[in-house]
Amino acid sequence: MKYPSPIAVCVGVVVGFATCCVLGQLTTRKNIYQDFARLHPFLEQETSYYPTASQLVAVAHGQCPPASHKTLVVLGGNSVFNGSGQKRDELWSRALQEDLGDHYHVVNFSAPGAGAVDNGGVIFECLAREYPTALFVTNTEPGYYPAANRSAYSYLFWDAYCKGLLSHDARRTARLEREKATSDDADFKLSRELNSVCYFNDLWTYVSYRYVSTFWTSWLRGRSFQPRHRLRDWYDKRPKVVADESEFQKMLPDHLEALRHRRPVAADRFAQNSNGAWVQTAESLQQDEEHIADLLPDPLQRRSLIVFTPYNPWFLAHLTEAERTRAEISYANGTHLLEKAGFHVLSTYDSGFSPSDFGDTVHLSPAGGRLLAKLVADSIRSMDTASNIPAGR
Amino acid sequence: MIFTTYWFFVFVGIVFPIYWLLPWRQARLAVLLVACVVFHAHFAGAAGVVPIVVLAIATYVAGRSGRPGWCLAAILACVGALGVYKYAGFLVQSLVGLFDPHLAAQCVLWIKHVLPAAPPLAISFFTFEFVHYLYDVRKGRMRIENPADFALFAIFFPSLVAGPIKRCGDFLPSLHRGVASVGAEDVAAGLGRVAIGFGKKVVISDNLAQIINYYGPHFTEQPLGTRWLLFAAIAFRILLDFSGYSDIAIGLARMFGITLSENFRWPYLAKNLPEFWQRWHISLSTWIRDYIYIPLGGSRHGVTRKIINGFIVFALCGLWHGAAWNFILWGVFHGAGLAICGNYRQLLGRFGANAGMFFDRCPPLSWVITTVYVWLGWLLFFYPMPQAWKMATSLFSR
Amino acid sequence: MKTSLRILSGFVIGIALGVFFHYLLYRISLPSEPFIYFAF
Repeated sequence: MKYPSPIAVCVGVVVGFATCCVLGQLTTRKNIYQDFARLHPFLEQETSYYPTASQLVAVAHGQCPPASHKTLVVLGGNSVFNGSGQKRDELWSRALQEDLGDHYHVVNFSAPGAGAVDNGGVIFECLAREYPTALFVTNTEPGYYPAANRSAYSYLFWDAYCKGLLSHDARRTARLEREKATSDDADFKLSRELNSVCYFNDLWTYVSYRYVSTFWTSWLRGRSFQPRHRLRDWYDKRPKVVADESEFQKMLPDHLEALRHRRPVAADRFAQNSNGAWVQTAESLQQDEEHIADLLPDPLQRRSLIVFTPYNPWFLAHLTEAERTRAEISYANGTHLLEKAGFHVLSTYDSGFSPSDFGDTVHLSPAGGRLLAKLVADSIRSMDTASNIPAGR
Repeated sequence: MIFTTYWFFVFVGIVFPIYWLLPWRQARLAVLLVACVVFHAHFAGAAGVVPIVVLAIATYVAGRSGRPGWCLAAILACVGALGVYKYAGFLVQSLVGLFDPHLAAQCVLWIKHVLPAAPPLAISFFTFEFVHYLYDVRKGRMRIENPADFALFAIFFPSLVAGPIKRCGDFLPSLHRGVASVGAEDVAAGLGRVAIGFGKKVVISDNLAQIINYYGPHFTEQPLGTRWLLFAAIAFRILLDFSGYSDIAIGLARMFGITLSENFRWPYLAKNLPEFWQRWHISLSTWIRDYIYIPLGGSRHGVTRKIINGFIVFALCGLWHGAAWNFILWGVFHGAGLAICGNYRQLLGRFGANAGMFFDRCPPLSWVITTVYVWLGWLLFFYPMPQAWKMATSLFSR
Repeated sequence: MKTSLRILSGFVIGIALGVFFHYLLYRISLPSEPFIYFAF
């Protein structure tokens, strides 16, 4: 036998490729993330693992089927809502679930560095029609309202968008068309469009999760090629959070400097009026309003709760009075703008958090997580009983 | 990144079926030419296309005329363009900076202001192919009459960006055979070759690169065994990345029915440096031999001239890889190795002859010495000299 | 028999290639190093 039949090779290539496309689509129909609690680093892009929108939708379907008639609560947000520093069993969203009880099901799609509507917001929008009573709860800080296609997790937005999982929103479509001219991520968007037909990200992410990973990462080193389902929640192996003054003192120089540059605190969005009082500039207020309008399509704002999570009062005490004033103004303005846009807002700036509720400037200790869970649960219940109409309207 | 973009996958997904389904030779040539133009324009942009088009027209016209003077002028224009786009900043910094660093910095800033941020895409490869063509025309060896043939030779997209460096005497007959008779065997063989190339690059080389990037900065702090493993990883990373790219280029060409020359032939099996350079980046080393070393006199004027020519050739080879001193140093390192390898038997008298006989009878030892020498060269290639020296010495100490 | 073997082996190799190209579309979406050539 001199060589294999070349025509058979060519036919085999087409058959093999097409079969993978079909298998990829089939993997999106079931929940592959058994015992899912959150997107910890081994399950998200910090270790070059990119769960797809279809897969996360399947998680919600698997954990809370539509037929269960429970109110689905989809969490989004950043590392604060992701429970950075909290071990899996201490996760604040578990406390939230316990507080809410059996008529609700909480699923946590927050991720470190995510914007208000990244991940969880995208999945909430995918599920909104199928779960008419579902609620979306996310966190952010005042002044930071990136649309889902403009952030570090934009891949998930484009994945859902190109697969047709998102609701049709003419305003958003027009905005994306305008942004196309100035964006430099054409190849990235092409990849999502191709994936919506070939499902390569879905299939091979599934293979990475279940069977073998093929990408070396410094986070995992020798365990890089293990299937991800064998890797426990990353935070479980981290040292326990020590929420005391001696630890805060060590962090003070770097963390205080970082806090000073945060949007609610930094001076670049503010000006002093003739009386010397700090006011947020009209320009930044307008920009905030425009960004808020791009967060979610109508009428999903009415089913969404945005939580302004607090700063550690121990670090706040080290800010200047002007900086604290600016933070308070930011929280108040942010609350007003979001309620004006139809969102429910929970501002926890003065909600009784103490230094022992924090592991650093912003991330909550298990105790702080439980307090947050109580506050959020109360807000969710009042949202639900008020038929999703925010108090400001 | 060109072969690992989605645009490229869509591009080949459209171009190849059209090419295969067209039964007419001229139509296939036209499709191939249009595809090459689209490919070049997409990845090079206007700033990258215009200089290449100007050089290509100058090369074609000079070649068509057949006049040695015109060919020489076009050669100088191509080499000059390469020098300006790729090396102006480096040369100014290095030469003027010796006397007046402040003036050098000002000149470099002005150069950055005047020239595009990056040299035109693949200008090194264009220059080499144009110079080869013009040199051969000047020697009366060939002449391309058909402008479409010349255009395809110039911007054939599989080898455009990173080789193999083509010789038009081999490429054009293969091109015409390919468009006339591409078949399933070509497609199947090409697909397999492309898959091998991507496997080497994305499956193995990229993972090695991640490991090297992570452990590399702490190279000397690792245990001795780990240092040698990293040393090997650096060597295999560059081999698999380079040869993977060549495999992809050769495979894509084969899918058009066109055969490109092999560029890598198991280089780490070489038992001496001359053999290494017959196996590594073959199209580059043969080009350097034919168009620099031999015109300089090669080995025809005695041992001293041969050694000097070798140093010049390999210093230029190093410089071709990048505008930085570590690349030149790497080239000189290989020049020195070749000088020793090619001449120690004669120059060291009886001792040299005996040593030569010993290495001939002990191929594994020759292989080990050659491999370690080549791999040490990669340290110079990738790292600044002080760091490379530190890494090299740490391999032989606890 | 030999022909069937040629066809079967060709088909199997083809399927492997098709699966690999599908994997490749996923793999190039992950962060990767540029080809070394582009450093030159």
